[in-house]
Amino acid sequence: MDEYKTYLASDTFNLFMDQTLREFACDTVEKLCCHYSPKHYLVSTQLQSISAVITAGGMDELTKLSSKQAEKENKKNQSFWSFVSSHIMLGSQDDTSFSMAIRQKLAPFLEDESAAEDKVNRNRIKKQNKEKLKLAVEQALPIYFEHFICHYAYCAARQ
Amino acid sequence: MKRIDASVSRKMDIFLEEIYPESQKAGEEMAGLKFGKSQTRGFESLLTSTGRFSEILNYIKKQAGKDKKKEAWVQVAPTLLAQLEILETKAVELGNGDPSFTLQIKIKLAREWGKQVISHYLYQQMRMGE
Repeated sequence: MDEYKTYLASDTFNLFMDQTLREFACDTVEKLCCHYSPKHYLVSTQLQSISAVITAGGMDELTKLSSKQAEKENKKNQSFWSFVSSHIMLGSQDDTSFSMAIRQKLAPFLEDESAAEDKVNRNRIKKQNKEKLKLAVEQALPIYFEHFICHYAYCAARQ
Repeated sequence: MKRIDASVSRKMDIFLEEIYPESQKAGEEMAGLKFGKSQTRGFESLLTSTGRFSEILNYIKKQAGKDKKKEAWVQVAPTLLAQLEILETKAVELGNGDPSFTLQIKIKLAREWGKQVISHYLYQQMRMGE
């Protein structure tokens, strides 16, 4: 785990967050907004609430906020928040999700669960992988959403 | 932390000389728009204080997002972002696969480029006021 924590603090991971993750965030926003007209864009206070909840409580708070907002009646907001909710889900197998982008980067540090000899070992590996993923996600989440929010605001301004 | 060596530093200087005409164009473009002094000062201040290249890109996008009248940042953002993209590509090339170097080169190039843009913006503004 120490080697893993060193990796998360390294410039390799910093460069990943600065460039690869930024390109991924921009790409995600472009795909999300490509068919938007100006009226589809969220107001900036809603967007800013993302940074605020991440600062306050990381992934858990963002998950709560997006689920809560997705249940509200405003259709414009509903589709955005539903998207965020599924995009950040930790166990997502979707290649275009945030957690999958992190998981792919961490692949060399994650053990193969299917290679475990028995259930006990499988569960142990699963738990370890989950912990590792959670650590990286908590570190990358604020920066990822900084990229996401700024690019979203820029797309809205270009309309 | 590894330091940028003299040969890479020289390549960076040469590159900054090469892109100078483009930085001048960006400065001129800014001078023709409605930028307040506080806006350019804010940009200048970010360039010197940030340790992360992407924060500069994000700052420009965020300012464009706030530019409701579309008279300043929205207009110049595509030029600035495109030039920063060129800087990033060059930094990756000069970093030669070393993440530490690449990060350092990126931020250093961006700071020097920013100085070029803002200096030319101020000079152009002064000329326009003559």
